[in-house]
Amino acid sequence: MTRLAWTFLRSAGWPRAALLAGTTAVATALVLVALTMLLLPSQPVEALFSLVAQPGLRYGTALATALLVLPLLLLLNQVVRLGTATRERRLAALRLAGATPAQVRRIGAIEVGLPCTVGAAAGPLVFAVLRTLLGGQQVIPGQGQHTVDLTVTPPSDVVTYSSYSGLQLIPTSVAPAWWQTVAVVVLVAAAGVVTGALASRHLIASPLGVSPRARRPAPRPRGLLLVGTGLGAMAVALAGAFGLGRLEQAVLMAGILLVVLGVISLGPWVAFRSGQRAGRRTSDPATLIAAGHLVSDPRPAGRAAVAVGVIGIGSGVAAVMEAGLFFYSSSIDPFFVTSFALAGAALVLVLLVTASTLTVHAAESLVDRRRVLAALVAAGTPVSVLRDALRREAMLAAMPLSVGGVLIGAVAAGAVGMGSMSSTVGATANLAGLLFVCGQVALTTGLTWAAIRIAIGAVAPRLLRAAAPANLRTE
Amino acid sequence: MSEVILSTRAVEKSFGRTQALRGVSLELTRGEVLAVTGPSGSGKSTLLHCLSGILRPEAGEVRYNGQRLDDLAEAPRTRLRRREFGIVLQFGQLVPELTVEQNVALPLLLEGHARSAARTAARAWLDRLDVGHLAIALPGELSGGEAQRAALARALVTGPQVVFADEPTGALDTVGGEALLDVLLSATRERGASVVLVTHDNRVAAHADREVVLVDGAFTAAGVLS
Repeated sequence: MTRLAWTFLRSAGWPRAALLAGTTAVATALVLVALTMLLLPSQPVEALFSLVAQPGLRYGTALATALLVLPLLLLLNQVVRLGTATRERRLAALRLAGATPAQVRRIGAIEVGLPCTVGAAAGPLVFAVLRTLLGGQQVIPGQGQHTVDLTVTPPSDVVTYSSYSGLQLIPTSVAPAWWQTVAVVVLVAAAGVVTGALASRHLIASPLGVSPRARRPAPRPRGLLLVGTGLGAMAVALAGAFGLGRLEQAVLMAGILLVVLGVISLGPWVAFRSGQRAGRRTSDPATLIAAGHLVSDPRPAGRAAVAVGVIGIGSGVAAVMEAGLFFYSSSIDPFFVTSFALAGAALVLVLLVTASTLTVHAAESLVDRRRVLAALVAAGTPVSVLRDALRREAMLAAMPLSVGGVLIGAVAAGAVGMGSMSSTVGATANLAGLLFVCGQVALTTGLTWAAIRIAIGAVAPRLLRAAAPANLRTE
Repeated sequence: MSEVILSTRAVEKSFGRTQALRGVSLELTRGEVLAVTGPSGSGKSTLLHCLSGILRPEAGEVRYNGQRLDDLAEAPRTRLRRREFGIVLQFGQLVPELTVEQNVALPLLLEGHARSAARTAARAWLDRLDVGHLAIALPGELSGGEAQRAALARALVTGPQVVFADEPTGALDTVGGEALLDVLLSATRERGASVVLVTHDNRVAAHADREVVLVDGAFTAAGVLS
């Protein structure tokens, strides 16, 4: 069984296995980073960036780090689906040859689980590299220069300290215990194995590999419940005063998590509704094809695009906070500037991961539909129309999430900060702040648009191959 | 003498070391139904692809209405296929995510027709081919015969001069296949369009005006059938 899975794994190509292993390794490392932050004592014995060093900010930073895993998991899910059509035909042939449903499920799990396990096992190495690059600086009390770096919080028992270079984001005075590291590795690897097993689950009912042709039920907006609950929890946590206790902090984090999970689960529904609306009105062939594909199967495109919504929320919140810093504060604290730069860098990184997810989804979609695409081109459809259709499908799924996410983030953050700001500043500052937020909204949606263009541009050669006349003969 | 609408001269086409067509020459006159028969792997589909401008031959020439087709760039060849040709394959040619009506309207939308006009024309062809009641169904919900009728409607909706059909009845039973051929031939004859019918089934070929037999990429026989 394992040998069969190994053969399939090799035939699927090393790039796919490498992508699976790489994604899992980075995800494991990020979970370990978040865990290390949580292990830090309330008074650290090393110099760290204040977002990590200050107990009041640390939980939020750990949560944000853990949330960075989500886009990676979405990419992982998409990579697992890469080559699904070919794999399904192969596994269906195994069923016909006498393999039991459990055996088929096991092969699928091993095929995906093996690279995921290798990647998860390599995660601690990636963590070690990150710790070397971004680790906290051990300080010898009483030594060093009297230069103050406002973005770094020194250990509490040190009177004087050096000027610290670089970004000290990961604690080095504490580390996860061996069993904690093993637990993280096993959990991430298990997530990969489960994803692999679930990817081929419908073959159990259909050993011939023929997908059910009946219309699948449309996705429902159940995520709205999560978003509402999350926003409610955040409101409750922030309702008291500015000083947040441990309980309020926990409720706030839970609220943020619920909002993010809600936006993620809304992805397929947003894609479905967006496709439905576009398809109803358009007379443009590319939009019609894109909308039809979205309505028919909104889940893969919706899942690929949900990270855009999360980026939007983060960007909207950051926009309001930056506006507060630049237009409503008398002086600009370097700590905030560095924090916003970090947040911006994280968002751009997530956007790159999301572009990769969209690329993988588009490539997968092309392989699945190559006969239809070849037939369309044979019947006189220009390849440029099919390329436009791919791009519009991604746009229809991602842009509403992007705009919606930015607006939710901006409005929520604005509502929290408005009372304390608007009364103390003039109308000019308010207008400038508003324009700044609008600019950030435009920037985020513009970056999303650019990410989609890049993703579809990357699969353009595959589109030509998919639409080639040779595929008129493929099943 | 009938007007020649489509012709090839000494067409050759290879895939790697396999030579699919070896110097094939033929002429198709306006309104003629030509059957191309032969065993599997004889080059029938490749010939149809070269005739319709889907593939470019490596040697020889293909002319449509006297104009070299094989010399044209991809974009004008694509336009020509959309405006002048109709193509029906064995299966899997409808976009599974679009309704039957949207599938049939697609070539007209690509031509820039208004949505309502495209829908009206699509509905008229579907009604004519007895599948009007399936207009809002998805291709996956149709039987093989219904899907082929819908594909035929899409091929005919632009008013093509030549219809290329590659094993159009290959996935249908005998009765369904006969019915589809009747519809295909009556609709094209009524419009004076020509048909190139690729098949390995002699019963299907018997509906043509003329049959050419392809073996190992070359014609071995040709004759008038009716």
